[in-house]
Amino acid sequence: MAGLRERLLELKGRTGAGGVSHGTDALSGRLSRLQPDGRGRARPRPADESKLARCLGGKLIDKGVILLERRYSLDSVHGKVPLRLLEQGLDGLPDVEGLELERLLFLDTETTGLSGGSGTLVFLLGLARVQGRMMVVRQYLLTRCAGEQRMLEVAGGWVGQGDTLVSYNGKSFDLPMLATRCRLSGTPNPFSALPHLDLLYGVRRAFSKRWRECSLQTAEQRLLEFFRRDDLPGSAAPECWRAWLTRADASCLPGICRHNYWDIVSLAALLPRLRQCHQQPGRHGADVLAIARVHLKRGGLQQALSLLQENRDRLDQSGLLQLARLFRRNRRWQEALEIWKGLAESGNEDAREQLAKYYEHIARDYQQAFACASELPTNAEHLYRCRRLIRKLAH
Amino acid sequence: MHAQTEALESVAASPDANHLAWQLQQKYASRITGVLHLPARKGRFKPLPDALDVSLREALVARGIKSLYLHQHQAWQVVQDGKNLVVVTPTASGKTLCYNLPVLHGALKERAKALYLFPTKALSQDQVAEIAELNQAGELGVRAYTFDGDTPGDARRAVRTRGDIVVSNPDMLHQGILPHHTKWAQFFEGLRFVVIDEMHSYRGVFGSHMANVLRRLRRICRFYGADPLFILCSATIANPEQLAQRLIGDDVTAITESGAPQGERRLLLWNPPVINPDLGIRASARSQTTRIARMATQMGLKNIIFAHSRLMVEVLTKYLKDVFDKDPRHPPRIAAYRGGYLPTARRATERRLRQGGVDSVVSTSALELGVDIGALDVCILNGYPGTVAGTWQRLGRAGRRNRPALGVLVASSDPLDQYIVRNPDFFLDASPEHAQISPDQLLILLDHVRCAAFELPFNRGEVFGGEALEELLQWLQDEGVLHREGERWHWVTDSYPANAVSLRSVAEGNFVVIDITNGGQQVIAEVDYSAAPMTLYPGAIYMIQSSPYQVERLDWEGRKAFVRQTRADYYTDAIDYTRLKILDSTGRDLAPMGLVAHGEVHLVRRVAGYKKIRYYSHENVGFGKINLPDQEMHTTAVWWQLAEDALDTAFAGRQEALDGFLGAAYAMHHVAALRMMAEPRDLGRAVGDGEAGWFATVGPNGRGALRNLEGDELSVDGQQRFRPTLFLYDNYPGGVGLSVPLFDQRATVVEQTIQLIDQCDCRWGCPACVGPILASDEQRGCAPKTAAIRVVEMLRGRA
Repeated sequence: MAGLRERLLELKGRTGAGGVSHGTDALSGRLSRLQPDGRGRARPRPADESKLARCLGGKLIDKGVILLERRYSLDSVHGKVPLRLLEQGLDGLPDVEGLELERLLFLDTETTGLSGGSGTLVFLLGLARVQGRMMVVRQYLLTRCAGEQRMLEVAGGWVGQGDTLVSYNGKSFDLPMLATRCRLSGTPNPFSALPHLDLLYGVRRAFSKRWRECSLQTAEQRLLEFFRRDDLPGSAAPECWRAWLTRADASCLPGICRHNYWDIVSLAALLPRLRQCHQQPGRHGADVLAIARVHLKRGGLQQALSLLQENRDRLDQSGLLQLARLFRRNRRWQEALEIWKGLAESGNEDAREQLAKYYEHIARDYQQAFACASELPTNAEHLYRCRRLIRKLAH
Repeated sequence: MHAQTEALESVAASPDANHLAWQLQQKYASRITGVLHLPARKGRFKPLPDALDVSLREALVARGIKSLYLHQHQAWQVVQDGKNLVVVTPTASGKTLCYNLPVLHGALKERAKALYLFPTKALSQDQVAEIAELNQAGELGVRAYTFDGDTPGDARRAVRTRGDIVVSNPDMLHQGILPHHTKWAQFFEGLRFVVIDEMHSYRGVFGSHMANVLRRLRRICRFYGADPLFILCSATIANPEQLAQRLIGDDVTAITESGAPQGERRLLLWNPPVINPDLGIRASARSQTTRIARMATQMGLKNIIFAHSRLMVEVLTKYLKDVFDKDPRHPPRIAAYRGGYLPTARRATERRLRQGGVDSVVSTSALELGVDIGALDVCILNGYPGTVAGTWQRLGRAGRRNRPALGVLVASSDPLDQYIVRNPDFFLDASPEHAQISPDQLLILLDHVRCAAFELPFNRGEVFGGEALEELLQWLQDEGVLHREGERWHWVTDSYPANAVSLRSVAEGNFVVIDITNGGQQVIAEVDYSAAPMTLYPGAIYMIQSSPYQVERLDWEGRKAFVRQTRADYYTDAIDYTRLKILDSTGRDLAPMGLVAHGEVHLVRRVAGYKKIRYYSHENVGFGKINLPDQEMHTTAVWWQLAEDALDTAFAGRQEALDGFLGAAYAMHHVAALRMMAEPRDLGRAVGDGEAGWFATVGPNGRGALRNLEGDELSVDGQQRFRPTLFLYDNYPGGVGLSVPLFDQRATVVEQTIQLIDQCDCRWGCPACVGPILASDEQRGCAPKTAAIRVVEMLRGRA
């Protein structure tokens, strides 16, 4: 059975028969009949990359790659955050051990889409690091698809082997994206083995209960008190770049570069701010209990305890129970009892249970223990406790 | 896997399928038109290959496999020679070992990786379980994982980086693996085998999509430097080698002889008795099927009944449940199975079948695929499945464990069925159909070029499919998704193309059926877009396990149907109209009395109303209107027209000519399907005027009637011009390549249609030739049958 196309060609070759009433031979004719959709042809205009580089205040370092570099002193302030806070050290943040300021590499990208997959590419790669008393920001802008390999090579040249990456949601988005791009262009991935500090997790931990969402912009506004003016939203980035690529229309490229620049600077300023949240959660409205738990996980029982105590008036019931638990572990019974009694009065069952246990096993006041236990909801465990107490009372 | 021994299982003392066959042949001899007896077959064996990895050999022996069937040994040989392979042997012949053996051997010897593709998740899970058992038996340490929509996020990385055998399905490969291929870099680099099971299911539209997904797979493999070997398994079709070759785009060696033992089988061809000789009306297939199933179930024989439609499954289940499941205290003995039931419900039914808790299962073709449902003794086909291959596949569901099995094909009054059952030799000698695919179908190819461009940029000079790639890329550039830079086309937009392409049909979105009976909202079934207008209109009775629900509201845009349980004693059947407009003819042939041509048409299908039919009595107890959006499509078709003066001469009036056209269309549709070796539903038929001015249907009074676009009736004689046109169209958007070969064979089709009508025993017409007629037609003067023959003879024209 001959294929359709061979058949058509054969029929068209026959003279006389096969009077085609309308429509063209071309594939596009057939396609437009099947999918009638008015579409025009994009007319490519020659793109002047050096001119674009000059417009953006950068340098065309190779065919298809523009580098924008900016520096600012650590004495400057971003929002309400003086950047010299970075110099005060980074201890106090979880997952941060022995980090040197000059080994931090801040990273943020702009891509042609959010879906991941091999069809999305990184067209703007922003990196920043501290050198001396300056913060140096380098943005690598792709001006043509073919420049990708070179861009990744050059950017990779600025990455040190002992660097630690700092990003916002980079673990699930930016880094896998960059890994894909390196694999596709055949360049080694300079970021693959580096330790990675993704600030999204810290922000979420501290603020997800109080903020509607934990995007970088929200953190920027609430924690850094930095408010952008005339910012191009990140969602406009793909279309912006496509306009340049297909029509040599660079009108919104400066906006995107500036958006990315702010993302990186905010990222850098967020680091010391987040550290402060972990040391003094009360100052910025962070979730005290969540931060205390971080300390507990790392074995910092005393730190957790002092943190909870200092911010006691901001604790909710679960926070208070946690504090009571820590008091109990330190055998500070009076302080624990004070919390439990207070909570039990407002009907908190966990507190009542703790009281029952305390009276039974520590104070050996079975009468009191039974009084507490009998107020607990009836389930197998509580019934068992009550029966046991009755037996003990009987002796 | 069961032990392969040469001894057949001993005959049980309780009745087996042979007893039932004997009883049926005694009691209903007049209804049985043909008998096929296949004697039991012994197995042919070969020893395990010497080169086989030692631990694998031990694992096989531990599982009771000490030798191979002939075809399994041949498969091993072909793979060792480095050639692609397709194995075509019946169900339960140990096909899986044909691929598991070389794959496991490769994994053990050189950490070779394999990708298994199954059409459904259930089959995937069965497969992984089997490999796990072999692994345990020999402590092989080969890691086989499923990778599909159900695989949780954190498990996915483990599968990608550590899996030796990844078991997935075409949809997941298309949407979840290929577009993210860099994450699978390690896997692709080591990929040595691709296994495709149930190859015969990749036909028509689905097969055309699959061929393109495989093109993309091979392209990605090339990028990583891999060139895997393909092993395909298929049920019996006429052209396994050709289908395999077109699917994978490379040469394939076929193994078609099975060395597995097989129990004795009998096949009965059954024609329901005539109950009205003048009208040629026979008892329904349904009545016969129910009777045979009752006998089988009462004898303790496990049976499976295949019905054409989901509606018929529900109707049959209801009748059988009325007999066997009257007491709600006992677990149900009858189960229904079909697509549209939620996956959890279907898994539960499969489990109960395997454990032997179900005596009779009524199913659509959904159960045709290789899911293990244990041993069945009897298989009843309610109506001819439409293809020889499909018939044998379904019959293969009975008789897995070397016990005698019985199959009964009960004919309906459909012309095809009647033809088959009255010409038993035709069927019994017939080779199974050719499975056709059109991998270069324009819309399908374009969609996959789009997906491929997302995966890797295209370079000038690359080849993908049989159409001019550069022109397709230019099209995509104009669409705005690709950007050309020098010799390369890059993907530059933010969309994710694989999500918009469904491998099974026009991707328009499935409907969910939501039960609102108790004030809540529970999803109880899914219906695909093309079936929705016919089954989910407001007022429709929708059945699940023969429990009726009535559709209260249909949210077309939101793709939701809200249903409530009901106790209606009737079921509903929708009526649809199709109208066609000729867009472009790409070839034509002028006949002395008219013309025949083929080309592109635009089609609109409207579901206009529905009938309410009461159970048991089958009376029509009401009618309802349906108001749903029309379904439109562009496709290819072949059409026949006759000149007006020729019709004037041949017929007393236009009404007769119209009736003749309708009868001729009915007969030609079935002959064409048979001739094209396609299923009747792959081709549609219509009679219209080509300009979409009117179209014809058989009215309730049995006579042809004209309707315009709105569905209003028009007077036949009131039309100025009268150029009835008979259309046979490809029932898929863009066509699937049936029109052109049909045009080529038009002379034979017309000739065989004349034969079909001529040879029919009825007097005035019947469902077996020109369509059902009413008693009043005898008084018409010109019987529908005569009119139809006259039309077809005129179409034959010169000869």
